[in-house]
Amino acid sequence: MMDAGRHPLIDVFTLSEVIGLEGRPGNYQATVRTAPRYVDLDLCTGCGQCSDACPIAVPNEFDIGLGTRKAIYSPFPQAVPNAYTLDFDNCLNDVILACERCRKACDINAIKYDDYPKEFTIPVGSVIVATGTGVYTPYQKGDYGYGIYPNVMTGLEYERMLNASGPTNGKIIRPSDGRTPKKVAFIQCIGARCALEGGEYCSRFCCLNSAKCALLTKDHEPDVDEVSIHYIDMRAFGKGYDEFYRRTQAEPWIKYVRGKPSKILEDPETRNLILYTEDQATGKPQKRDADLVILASAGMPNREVTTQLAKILGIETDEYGFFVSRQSSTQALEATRDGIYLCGCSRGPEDIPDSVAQASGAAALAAKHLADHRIERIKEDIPQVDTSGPPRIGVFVCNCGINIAGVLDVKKLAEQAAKLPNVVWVQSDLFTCSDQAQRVIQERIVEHKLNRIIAAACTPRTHEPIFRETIRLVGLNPYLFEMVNIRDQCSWVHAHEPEAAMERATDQIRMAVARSARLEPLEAKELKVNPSAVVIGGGLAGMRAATDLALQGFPVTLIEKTERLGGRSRELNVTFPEEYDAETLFNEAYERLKQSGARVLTGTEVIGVDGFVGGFTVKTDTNGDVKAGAIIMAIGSDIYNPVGEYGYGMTKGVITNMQLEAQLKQGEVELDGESVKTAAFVQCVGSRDPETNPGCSRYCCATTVKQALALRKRGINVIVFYRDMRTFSHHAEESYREARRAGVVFVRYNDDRKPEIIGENKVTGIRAYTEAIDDIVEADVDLVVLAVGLSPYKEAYAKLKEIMKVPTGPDGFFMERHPKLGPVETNTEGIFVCGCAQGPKDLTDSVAQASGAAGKAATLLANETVLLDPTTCAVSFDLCRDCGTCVAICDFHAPERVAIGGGLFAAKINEALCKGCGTCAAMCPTGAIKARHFTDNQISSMMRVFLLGSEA
Amino acid sequence: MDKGVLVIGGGVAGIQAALDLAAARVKTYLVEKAPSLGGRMAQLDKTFPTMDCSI
Amino acid sequence: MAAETKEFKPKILVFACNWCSYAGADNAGVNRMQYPPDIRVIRTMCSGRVNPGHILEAFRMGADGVLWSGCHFGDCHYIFGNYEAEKNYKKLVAMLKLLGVDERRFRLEWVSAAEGNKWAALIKEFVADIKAAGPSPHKMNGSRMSQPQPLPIVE
Repeated sequence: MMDAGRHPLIDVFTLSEVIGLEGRPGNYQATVRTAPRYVDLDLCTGCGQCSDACPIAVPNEFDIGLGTRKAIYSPFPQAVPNAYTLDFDNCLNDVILACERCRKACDINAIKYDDYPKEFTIPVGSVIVATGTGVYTPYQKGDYGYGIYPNVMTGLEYERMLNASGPTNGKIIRPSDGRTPKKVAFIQCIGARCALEGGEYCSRFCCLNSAKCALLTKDHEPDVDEVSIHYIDMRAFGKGYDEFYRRTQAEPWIKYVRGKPSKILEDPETRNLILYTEDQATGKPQKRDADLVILASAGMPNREVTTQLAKILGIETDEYGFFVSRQSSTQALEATRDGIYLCGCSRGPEDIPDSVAQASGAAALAAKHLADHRIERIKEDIPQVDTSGPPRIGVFVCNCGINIAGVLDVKKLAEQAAKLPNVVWVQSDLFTCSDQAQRVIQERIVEHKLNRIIAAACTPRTHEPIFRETIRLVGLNPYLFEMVNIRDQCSWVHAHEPEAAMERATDQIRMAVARSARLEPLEAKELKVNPSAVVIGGGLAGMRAATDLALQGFPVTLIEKTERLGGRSRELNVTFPEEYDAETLFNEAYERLKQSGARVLTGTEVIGVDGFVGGFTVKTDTNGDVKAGAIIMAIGSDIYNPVGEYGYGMTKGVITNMQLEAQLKQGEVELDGESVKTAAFVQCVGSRDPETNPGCSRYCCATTVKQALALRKRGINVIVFYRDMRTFSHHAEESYREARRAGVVFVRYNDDRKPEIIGENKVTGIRAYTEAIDDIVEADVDLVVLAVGLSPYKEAYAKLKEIMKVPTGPDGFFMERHPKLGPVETNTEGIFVCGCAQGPKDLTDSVAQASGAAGKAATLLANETVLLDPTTCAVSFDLCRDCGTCVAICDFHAPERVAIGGGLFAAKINEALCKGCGTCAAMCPTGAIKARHFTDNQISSMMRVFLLGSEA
Repeated sequence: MDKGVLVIGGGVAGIQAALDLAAARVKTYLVEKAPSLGGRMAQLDKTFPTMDCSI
Repeated sequence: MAAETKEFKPKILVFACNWCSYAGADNAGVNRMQYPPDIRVIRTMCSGRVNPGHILEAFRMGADGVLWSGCHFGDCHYIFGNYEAEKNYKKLVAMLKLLGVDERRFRLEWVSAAEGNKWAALIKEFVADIKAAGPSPHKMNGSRMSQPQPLPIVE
């Protein structure tokens, strides 16, 4: 968030709306209107003195009205921009006499009551719609008493209550009496999967979100006795979600109860709630009580707002107000007008990993209209300050308004610092981070020949980059800056003990001065980036990634092991839920790939990779070496082989869903030339099974619904045996509803009692226990279709893992850098992953993720060079005795054994791979490894100051 | 003004798209209706399944 | 002697990793959660960076308590650093036991960036434990410690 606020190529307009879009793709003119903030963004430091002075408190929208805020406010502590906003509708100045308390409280005159709305136009080549979604408000249908019973709240309200910086400081309370609840009940699918209220679609994120909230409930309030989750199907479909679900199931105090309550009533005395549910063991109605009920509300846009925006942009929305994709299988991120792209919840509810991948994908698509308008990095020529002489330290102590000065004696801290060794300049400022104070720092560096700077202020986690940039601009190496946190970790947390807080601040400044004297200038290494890419794997995902990169102007080579492109899609008949013809989809994708100018090498296998980020050499078996700055892995996944299960391979009439798809592609569904009367599907074969694949395969439920409908059209009866119907993908829930209407019978089986096949050599029937009637269901069938899961290509993955040095996770699929923030990156810089190689997913999500990988790869390829963080580790060959400890522990493979002459070997750390954690330096038995910027010498010097009182 | 990409919405998806574009040397204009960035994710306490914090 | 009648002010050293624990301590600040000011924090990028030697050195220099803090397992910014930290911690616990150091004086804890409340509670608890344990008897009193060789400014 902070990064977006600070990036020189991003202009952020808050309180702003798009009110017009003229022109054509590549050449739009957007008109934006900005509402007045009444606070000068450039001046405001976010100190909060105005808010403290404001006499007006109103409900806080950010806390969904649970807490209050002032009329002049900042919505939450880490807000970007970190500036206050005056809500003029609630301001006293608006109605009665001049109040002006906030203006008087502001030390820097940032408040301007005469601010006014502004309108301006921006030249844009393309537009990304990332408007997110609202949530369904369960007022419409009062069944569960939301808005009537105080102890019924929505998931988002609960979420704010769980937040430590929220309205209750993280305490869970019953709104009726402020008491901690003993029994909390979550009810799923509020406004989702329902034809009567809200939408018919699945909202995707709510199942796991409630599971998460259930876990957090006990974290926050250990006295809670029970958390129940009332659900229809548990849709834990994402990577690692089923494992998470199982973890919550194992907690004895979390109860999963199938079925939504028919109604909820309140006991008017206790304000407790009575849930009318069904006893799963007996099937009889049952009452359960709870003292707090959470309604897991679905994602739902504000239709008026989105249709209004759609009109302005000239694109379409659906009946709920979600923006419509041009085509939902392989062009999900494209809106219905050229040059306008969609990502995240604007096109339907999504979880965070998919939203983030789509955002990178939309960036890739949007950037192709601006391939000729990339902005070159400005070459700077700043003369460097000579730092070879003795340290000359400047200490700048911040008052942070009254945030620090209200507790600590800032003047005294500065006076003490002036007496410390090597300190030649000290001063205190009201706000050391303000533009004005930053300019003063630059002047002092020149004036007093300072070669080390210390700021005693807030946290380095947010402000170190700002100060580093400030000193860099006058030629002082940015790594000669040191920060002391006397606000977040001193004045704010020791407010009632000012004397002891003063002692701590004094010590921490002394420690910083000792460290500062020992800091060394570090130069960021620059690596040249080859602006071309290699995509491995020629399925629809790989084809998409190659196309999106080539259209942005980067040379791309697509390498496919087999002789034909298209991968798994070539085996499909139609795609769900829109039933696009798979052959047509492939042909369209192939046409786009050809036009993009990407080079295609089929029948070619990757046998090795040399080099690192920006300069890889990809070795192939039949086409020599290919040089590339980035590599995208899109090698897809295998299909689970169910041999031996449910009689597959032995009993005639038991086939997989892929075999059925092949028959559907041919036209007729037959068994030895005879027509089929009744078919049964068995779900989760090789999915959600800790023995085979612990996770959900994501594609199979919707595929079964699609195939079941296709069979019904051929007059075949269909029974589906399932555990949870996970038709979460776009419009799949609607197909599921249609299938039930078309007479497909759905029977749920239990995890521990799988269905059994009847018939010796040929299948004649199937039976399964189902909880719904607490009995065994048996049916005559002549075809059993196993919905098989996706699994890793064992050999190919093992080989690629070795070549690429990208780890696989416990499920066997390639591991992304971060499940939410880096879903298409890997731990090896310059190598990206997408599609089923990262984990099972359907076509839509695979292809969207492929665009995401292209977007991420472009962030590397569009730059001539890549800067490597210099805070890496280095080995002294003199001290290294080649024990191999560092080589063994580093997950980034940065240390390697090298010959150092005389038949000797030593470890050498590849700076392009080192992330700078310093663990190897701690583990090295001979002290041969130096962790730059966190050296033993630097750490020891701080310990001595504190423990021995020695500045030497 | 440099020609760029207009990103509407400053939630997690909008911010991610803007950062990726800017990193690829494309000028980006991020338009958000609220007084600050962050969107829905900033309201969450922790996120599943890894339970790390939202901001 | 006057000094002995004074309240015991423990010297407590805290190592906090940049990504989780230091951020968690910041989070405690943002939420104004109060905890005792007896600690001094040294930030490292990863809990794995802390050398066992640093811990022993701290006790030798007279630290009354040392708290070492990193990300929860699975959250490490560097994937494996906290696992290595735990390995070293286990060795150190055994070693400190041999040396007769009260086990209350040394702890390894996981605090995430969102766990400001946990951080504040942890510091409160640790400071109380150290106060109960009293001043450390392990400070080296030899000439080497009372007049240490100056550390080089440039290595």
